Amino acid sequence: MSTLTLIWVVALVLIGAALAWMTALIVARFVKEARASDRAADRKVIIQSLSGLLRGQPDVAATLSPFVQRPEVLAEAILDFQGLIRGADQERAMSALKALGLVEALEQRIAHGSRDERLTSVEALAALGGEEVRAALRRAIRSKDPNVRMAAIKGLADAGSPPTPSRLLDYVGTGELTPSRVYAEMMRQAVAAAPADGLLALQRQDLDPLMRGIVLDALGRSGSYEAVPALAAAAADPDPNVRTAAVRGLGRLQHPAAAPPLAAALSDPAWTVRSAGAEAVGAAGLARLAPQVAALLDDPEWWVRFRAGDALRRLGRPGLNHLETVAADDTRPVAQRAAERALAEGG
Amino acid sequence: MPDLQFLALGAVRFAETIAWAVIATGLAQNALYLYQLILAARALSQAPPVNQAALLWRRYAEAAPPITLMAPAYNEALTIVESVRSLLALQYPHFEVVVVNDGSKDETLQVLIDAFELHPVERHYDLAAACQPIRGLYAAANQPRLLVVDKENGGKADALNAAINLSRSPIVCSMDADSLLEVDALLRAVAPFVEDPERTVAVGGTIRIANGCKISFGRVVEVGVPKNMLARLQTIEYLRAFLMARLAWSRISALTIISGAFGLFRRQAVLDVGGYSHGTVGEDMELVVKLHKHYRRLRKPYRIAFTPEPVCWTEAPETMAVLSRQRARWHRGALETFFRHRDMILNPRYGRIGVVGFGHILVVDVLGPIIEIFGYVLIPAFWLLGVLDIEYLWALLAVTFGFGIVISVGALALEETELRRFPDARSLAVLMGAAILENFGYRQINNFWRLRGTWQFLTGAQGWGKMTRKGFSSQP
Repeated sequence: MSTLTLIWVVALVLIGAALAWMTALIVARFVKEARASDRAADRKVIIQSLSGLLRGQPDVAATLSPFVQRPEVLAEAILDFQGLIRGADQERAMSALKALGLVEALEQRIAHGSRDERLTSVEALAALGGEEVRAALRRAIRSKDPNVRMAAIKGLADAGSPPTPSRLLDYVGTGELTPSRVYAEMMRQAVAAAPADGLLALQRQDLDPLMRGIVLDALGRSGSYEAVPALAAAAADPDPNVRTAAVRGLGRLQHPAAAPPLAAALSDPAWTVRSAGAEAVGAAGLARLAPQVAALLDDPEWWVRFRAGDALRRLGRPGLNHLETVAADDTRPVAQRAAERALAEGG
Repeated sequence: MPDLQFLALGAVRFAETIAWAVIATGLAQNALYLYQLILAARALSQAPPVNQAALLWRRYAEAAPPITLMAPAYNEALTIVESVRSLLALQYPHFEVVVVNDGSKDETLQVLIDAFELHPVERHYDLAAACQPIRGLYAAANQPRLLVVDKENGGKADALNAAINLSRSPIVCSMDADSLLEVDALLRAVAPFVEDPERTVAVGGTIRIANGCKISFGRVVEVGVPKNMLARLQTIEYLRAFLMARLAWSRISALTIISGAFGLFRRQAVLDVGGYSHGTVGEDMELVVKLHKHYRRLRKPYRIAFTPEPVCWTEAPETMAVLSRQRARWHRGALETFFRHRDMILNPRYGRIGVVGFGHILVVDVLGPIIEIFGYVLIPAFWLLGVLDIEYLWALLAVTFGFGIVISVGALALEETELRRFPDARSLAVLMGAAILENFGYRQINNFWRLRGTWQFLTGAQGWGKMTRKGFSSQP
């Protein structure tokens, strides 16, 4: 074959491949449209059956049982249906589905389905509720797919059985989970359920500043005053991100014992800590720290000035007195502007 | 006579060199596109899009960070109220909309005040990013998510800087006032910030052509194929640009642009690089390159991600005159950023962004149009002079066109396999026709427009040129 012929063959093969690809896509579209239509009709049947079940309609199990062989369709329908009902109705519908053996079928799909099916199945499983489901979710945590692991843990947390904080930390340590914002949310639920375990977890030596920050944030949101000493200690940590998380946590707990570490935070070298400190003083209503907060109105960092003004407003009359004094002080133009804006924003 | 023979031989050699350079450039570009197609296919298969908005809400709502939507508006009195209403109706747990009236000469500010019952308010803000003076702020108690900023005219970058200064959310979203967002756009685009909050600094979103779609109250309610051929060709072009090129480059951390029509940014990161740059028509690309440079220099881990799902719809020009101005301006913007940051070109210090990202711009945007236009002019001339073997030329051109069609169909295949937003098989067939057709004329004329952009860049032309839009209300 000559070079010229070879070039023409390559060109024709490329054009032929493109045309074949196009034809295949159009044919596939027809097939998919038909399948999607069937699937939508199946989902409708499932949702109608579940609604019928709630109305006391007989023979619903007979209609639903063939779908157990196609748990991915049932899973999609469950997630749609779940948003429509609550409380006792939801429990009844989900119990009926469990009675059909759906838990096992969904577990099979979690193990062998496509990526989308695995995720949908684990979310549907979580919607079913009950001890046998929680056991299945715990098994799903061992999945190779990190999204399935995260969804299983979230399902457990939403069902009121989150893993312990230490266990959650282990998952990151072994690389099974990554410290995402969803993870941080789960840590909040875990620590809220077991604050003592959260405190214990904080003592671990293998935590980097990021993970310490996540645990401190969770402790701050737990509402447990037992966390105050640990947060106060962390407010003096060498890492500014850890200090910031601890100071924010102290602000959320609003405990008077937080005053000394919060006072120290107001003069911290890191602006994020000073800003968090001002915010925390305002949230905790520590009016006696108002003079130190007012001193931050001419901080070089805008966020600190803004938080200081906001905090003084939240402190009520003692804070407003400081704002009005500074707003009238022409010798501190930066602080004056911050005070004026804080007063104006407060109306 | 030997001298004449020598000259003739020289002419043949020269003609062959030009021809081979043109063909080699074409093949190199197509090879690059093929690489992008493979990368994009892998990205989509490993992280397929979530089709149901309710699922997204369940997965991300609790952990979603607050977002400020920044909508700059200049002389948008006719459409701004509907645009803002549609923004306020987005599905996202915590967001605010900051509309910046950039010194409009029409009634943009007044129609906003009247429609939303706004009144002057005070808000503490820092002039961290440079912008023209702010004349006033407006809000209403019954619209707690809306803030309108009235400022002196300074252009889009300036307006966005003003919005960043006013924002108090950790994430800001840049957009055009006439962009149509999907109702779950923020929820989709925020995913990288939720999953990888420490490293993610920016997320780009896929922009689609709204021509031919059914639009109601600022939303695309039914996807359609444009009736206008030019818009149809742009539909394929956008699929190649967003679903293929940007997704591929984001996967290997070499994405150099996030469209100004929709992009999420970590507010502090934008401020760390001085906000949006003035004096360029490519402020969107400029910002992304500045972010890369900043984090590379600091050696801090970072991520600029891209979401393949369509999050934003825009109106494509339907006349050659408007499209040519748009393309020349885009090209000028790309060249401005490229030469402003020329120290990054193929510089290993900047990793893949210097080698792959800037290398790609060099081959495809800087040299590509010039070499191709040379080819279109010189090759027929050489053939007429009888110094080129026309049989080889036709064969190699056929390979180049074949490659081009495979790439265009490939981009459409990605859409069809993973997103399937076009309504039926007929739309698909029509678009496939466009995917073939665009290789015969459209791509070539695009090069002329880009060459015009190069000329504008070299002669220091300023301004955006007149951009006429039909408006969404006239859509079917």
